[in-house]
Amino acid sequence: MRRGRDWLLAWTAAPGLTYLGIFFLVPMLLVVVFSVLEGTPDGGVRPSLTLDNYRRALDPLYLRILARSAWLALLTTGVSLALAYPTAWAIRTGSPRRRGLLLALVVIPSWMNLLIKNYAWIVILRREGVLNTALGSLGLIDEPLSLLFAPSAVLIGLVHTYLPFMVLPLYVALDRMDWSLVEAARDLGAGRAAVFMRVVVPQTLAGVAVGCTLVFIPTLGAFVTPDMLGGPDSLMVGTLIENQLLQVRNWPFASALAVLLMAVAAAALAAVRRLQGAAGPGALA
Amino acid sequence: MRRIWLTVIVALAAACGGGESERPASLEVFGIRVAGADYGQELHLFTWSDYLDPELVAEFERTYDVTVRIDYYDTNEAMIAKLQAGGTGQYDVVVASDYAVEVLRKADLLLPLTHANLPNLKNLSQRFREAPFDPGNVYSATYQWGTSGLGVRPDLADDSTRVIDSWAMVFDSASAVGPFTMLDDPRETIGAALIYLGHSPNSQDDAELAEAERLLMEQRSRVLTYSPFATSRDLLASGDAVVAHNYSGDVLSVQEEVPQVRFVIPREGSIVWSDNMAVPKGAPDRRLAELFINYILDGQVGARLSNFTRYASPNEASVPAIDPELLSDRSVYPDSAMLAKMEFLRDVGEARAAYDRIWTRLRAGATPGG
Repeated sequence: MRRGRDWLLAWTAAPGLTYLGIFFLVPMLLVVVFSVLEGTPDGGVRPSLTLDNYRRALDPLYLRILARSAWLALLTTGVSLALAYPTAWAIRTGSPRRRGLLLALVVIPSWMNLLIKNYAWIVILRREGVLNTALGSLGLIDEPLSLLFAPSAVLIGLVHTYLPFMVLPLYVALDRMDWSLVEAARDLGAGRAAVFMRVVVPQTLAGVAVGCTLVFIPTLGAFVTPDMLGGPDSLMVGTLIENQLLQVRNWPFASALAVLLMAVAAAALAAVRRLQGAAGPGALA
Repeated sequence: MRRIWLTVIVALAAACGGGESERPASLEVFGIRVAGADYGQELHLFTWSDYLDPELVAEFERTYDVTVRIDYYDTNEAMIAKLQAGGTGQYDVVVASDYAVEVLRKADLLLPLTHANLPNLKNLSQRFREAPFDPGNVYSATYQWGTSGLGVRPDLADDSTRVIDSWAMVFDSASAVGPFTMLDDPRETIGAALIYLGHSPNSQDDAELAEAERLLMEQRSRVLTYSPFATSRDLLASGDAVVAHNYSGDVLSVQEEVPQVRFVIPREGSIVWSDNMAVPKGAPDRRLAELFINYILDGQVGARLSNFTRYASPNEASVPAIDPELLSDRSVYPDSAMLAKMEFLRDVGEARAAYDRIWTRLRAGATPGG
């Protein structure tokens, strides 16, 4: 009987596992293999093993680009969390009838194409753009502000794109939380701050962890938004890899950079796991 | 009821498959006779964006009863990478710039052109029949040509009398007239710095490249952004940029919207380029590819193409039908003295790595040599 069920499980998992094997594991292995091959000047590879690509990737020039990308991803995650928590809280504690509408309002912008979102920000932020014109006609500024093509523009664009991915897990965590514990804490005399810090936050840490992962990992490799909204020295690791793949056609070096990027992402995931672990098994429910 | 359905089905069948019955057994247009059975249904073209008049596409589709599918790229390098990664079997015609033709040829990714199928090849002017990157049009036929230089908005300049025909407007802070953009293209932007310093944009000399890097590093903090050609065009149109490093036609096409826009070829010289049609190895329909190339090389078609793109035509037979304003514009058709100061980009071979290092340091916000 048990054996039979195991077989059934294996069979139902097979399509998914095959798919992941072909479209995730194989390409990933190819990247790792390419990263230890030697590139040729005309864009090909020589079948000789080398660690030169990694040695070059650890050059301060490239590490600085990686560090800047990590910092931007961290900042995006932090700002998203700060904006998303109150939003999720408001949706969950508001009238149940309005909940569906509010959730839809959070989700619908994520249906929009990334390029269109970025172009919209260009129209809003540029010198003769919507924001400068509005501020100017209100008499708040004399000279148009230089908002576009700066790190802040990239941050705004990324937060706008990834905010829904933070709001939704937080909403789910708040929704599943045991609200009777909040009442109990209040009855026992805990203040609002104490209830929030000691009852609500520990119970929603799993949602925070999921949200942070969903925002941090894609922003770490983002290249479209920094390219479109960033200034002259806004090179991020995603763009660097793209340049090495497409412009320089140095696939082995691009692969080494990609492996390095995956290592940073894996380290971030491990840190998040620790956070979840610290919250205790109850918080994972 | 059944009759209604029958009518609907017949109408649908006519709408979908009607094309096939219309194709004649043989037709002779644009100087070439071809049997309808000799080519397929679809032409796959790989080219720059906004580079082909949709009316010309529609006319080609009607004439030969085919469908044209277009894919776009925004740098030669991206196009080469796609072809190298096994994309050759996906396209019948690729449009590649001068040095990119050289790279593709060296990588053995192109099919030689069948000259017997291209009677209109004779329309190309001498310069493009003997181009340094493909003498004798063995692999490629020129589509359009142009120059890179500076698009300017004199109406928005701090002082319009200080608008000059020099790279100094972007490289020398004392000569700046307002916010400016540079092309997000390593060869073009490093090339512009080399030209301003009096060197060749194809320099492989370490000292010259180091000098260009210092100039670009010093310039960086004043650059609004490094942008692809289409974005540069928009920023010049919107007035966010007063000076934009860009290709001639992409600047001139802004004039329709903003008549004040000017294109200047700096007196220090600049880069001249050509885009060329070629057939990649493994092209699904070589015959149709050559019909398309021959169509574009037609005099009338070439003129309509130039009137649309605002770029210069390599086609001598098209001269009478080109917009006279375009034809007399020295920034589109530079005179021979200016042409003498302009250079085609060539493949720099081993020095590609040096160009890449300069570009990465520049865009990463690093310091020279760091």
